[in-house]
Amino acid sequence: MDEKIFVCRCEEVTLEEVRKYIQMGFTSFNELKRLLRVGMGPCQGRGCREIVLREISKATKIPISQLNPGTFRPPSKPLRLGLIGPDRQEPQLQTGMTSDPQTRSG
Amino acid sequence: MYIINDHPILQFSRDKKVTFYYNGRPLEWYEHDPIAVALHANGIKVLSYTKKYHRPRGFFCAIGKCSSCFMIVDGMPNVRTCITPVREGMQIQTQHGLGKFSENLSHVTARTEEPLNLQTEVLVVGGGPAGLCACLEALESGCSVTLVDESLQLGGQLIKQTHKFFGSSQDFAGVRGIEIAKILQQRLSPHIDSGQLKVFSNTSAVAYYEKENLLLCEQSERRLLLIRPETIIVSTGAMEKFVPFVGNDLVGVYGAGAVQTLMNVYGVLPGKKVLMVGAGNIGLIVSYQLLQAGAEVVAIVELAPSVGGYWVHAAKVRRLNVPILLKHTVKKVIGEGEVEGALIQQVDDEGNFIGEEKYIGCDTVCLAAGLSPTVELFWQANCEMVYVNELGGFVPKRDLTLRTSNPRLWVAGDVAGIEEATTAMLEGRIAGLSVARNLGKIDEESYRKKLENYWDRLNQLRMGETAYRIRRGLKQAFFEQASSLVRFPEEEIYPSQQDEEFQSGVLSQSMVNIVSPPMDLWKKKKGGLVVIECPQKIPCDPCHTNCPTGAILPFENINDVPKIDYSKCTGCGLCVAACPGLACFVIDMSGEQAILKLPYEMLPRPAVGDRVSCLDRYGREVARSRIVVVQEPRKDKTYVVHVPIPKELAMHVRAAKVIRDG
Repeated sequence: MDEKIFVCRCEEVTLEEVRKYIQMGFTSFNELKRLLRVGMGPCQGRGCREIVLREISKATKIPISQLNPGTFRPPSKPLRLGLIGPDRQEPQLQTGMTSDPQTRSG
Repeated sequence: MYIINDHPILQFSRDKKVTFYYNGRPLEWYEHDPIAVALHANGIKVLSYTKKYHRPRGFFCAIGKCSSCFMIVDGMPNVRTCITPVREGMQIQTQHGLGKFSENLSHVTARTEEPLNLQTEVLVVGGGPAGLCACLEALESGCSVTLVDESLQLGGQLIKQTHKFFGSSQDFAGVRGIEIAKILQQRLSPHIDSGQLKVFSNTSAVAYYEKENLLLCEQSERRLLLIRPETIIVSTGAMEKFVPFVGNDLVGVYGAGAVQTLMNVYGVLPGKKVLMVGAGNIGLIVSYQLLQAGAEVVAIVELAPSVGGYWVHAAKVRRLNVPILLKHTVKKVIGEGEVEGALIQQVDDEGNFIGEEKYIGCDTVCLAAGLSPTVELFWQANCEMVYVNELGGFVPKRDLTLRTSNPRLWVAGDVAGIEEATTAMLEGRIAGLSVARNLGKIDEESYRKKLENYWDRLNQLRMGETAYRIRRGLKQAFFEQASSLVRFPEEEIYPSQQDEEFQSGVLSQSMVNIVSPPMDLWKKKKGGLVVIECPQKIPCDPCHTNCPTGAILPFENINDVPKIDYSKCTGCGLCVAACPGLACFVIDMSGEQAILKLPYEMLPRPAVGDRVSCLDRYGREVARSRIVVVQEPRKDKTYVVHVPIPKELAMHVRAAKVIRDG
């Protein structure tokens, strides 16, 4: 069995990775979020945020209360696109762009 | 093997069986229970495999918050199976990574309904103890209220609390949490019938848009709710903290609340041998509940040098032979995919590992290392937040009416800071009241009166010795400094410092002498005298309110330890049945043998003539005897059993276990 300690269950980020990136100088939650995806999984950081902030706090000696806990963007749980879209017809495998480069560049 | 068919307190409503398909294999379980529960009942704990390392995953929180329970349901991936009910013919597949949609997309989209636009005077988000009481208060003042709740059943964590609540008898002390949930729902139902209250269950609040004053909710993966409320009370509760250690994501590592949901709401055990991590109230209570449900608790490990929960909860599990290892932590959970055991080790005061690693065999690890408030909506609403370690993390700042810096939002319950249900209910009341006043539904005088009354009760509940952390935390959470409404003790009350045994829930000898009745009177008193082993200042009064003769004296402060007028005690045993901490005993020393009257809430159910093993405060068998009387004074499934024992053991035996074979 391996020795991984998970900080984030959703995105499978380990304590070792978080510590390594903090050592590299990424000492805000938002930076780590972009680099490691902590807080970007379906639970939106409910499990990992505090552990990551604690690690940042330990490394930078800044109390958690003074750290930025990162941005909380809606939605806070995965939503079906079909629920939000303007029409609720059967989704087509289209992106809004056509495959024709002529019309696409406009 | 994981199904609980008989339980000392609970009955599980299992009406109609349905057949569903797990990876094509037909399985059966009862309608309306969540998919993840139905699978557990069939011995299936692995729900998915992760996208990066392809590790098996089971659920963790069981209340729709952690998203570890994703599976493909009827062709749709990423369905939260812990809060999605199983239905006849449902196709459930193990999800690999992000999952794939089925080929037949029209089938997947077919159930989508048009979004629902709603306006409401009061929106309450979260139907736990705080949310339900907030609803009641706002409704009683004449507001129209909409309640959204993520779970399948209202009541939040109350619906899994089999223990009797502490606190004041005025606020449900002595009543089991599950019963409180029922009472609150009963009080709400006339308002539902009249249309004054709209309830949307299985509905998650997913976004708040401040500019548009729009709260976006999603119901059962099939409908959007667009709610434009005049006021919002957020009582979204909390989630178990995830703890970093090797193997912390193995299948079989659960949050304590998830274990409670599984066994107490649905009657399914997560495993047979459980290691509990954390000796706060949740860790202690869930350990006791695991014993009631028929599991073995192999140990409780606690990093701190003393139990963090009520001492009486610790004593309750100690006398049933559950070791509490203080200054210990789990280092590694071992298993190929599923939990097989754990390595624990002692830590010193600085948190460094010392001594030998110890291996403990177990199939379940239950994390009860604290809760984190579920605060996303406050961040989205730009509320001023503050990090308060003692309250569990970031919480919104609030004024004395629990209104946040965003004038539209109020906060109540665990999301305002981790405490417990009794305080959550009063906070809900305060928020509901304040909202009603804001909407002009209540005159200033009755508002003032009620507000003061709720704060008085809340202050009392927070004056105990284990609440010192809460008090310290609350001082940072309000905009104003402590005012006339919020009171703190003049001198801070800290938990009593005693020897190590006491800190883990065993009464020290000096205290045994203190709680023993005066021998000259004791020897003469037919029927016996009460012995109360409740050495900690906690808010609780049912021993007094249930004493018919006035022997247990009225409390000046509800946090006082009980005082007894032995001349009035008749040994009736009503306190034995009423005490939420199971800390009252009656001992009759008038005959040749001592007759011990003990509380009993385990299986097998006791009967006259049953052989019992008599256990001391550590859970060690010190004698064997037979039950001579069984009573159920309050008809609430707490039995009082009478067991004769040698007189010299009268102050040693504190539990009895029925032996049915051998």
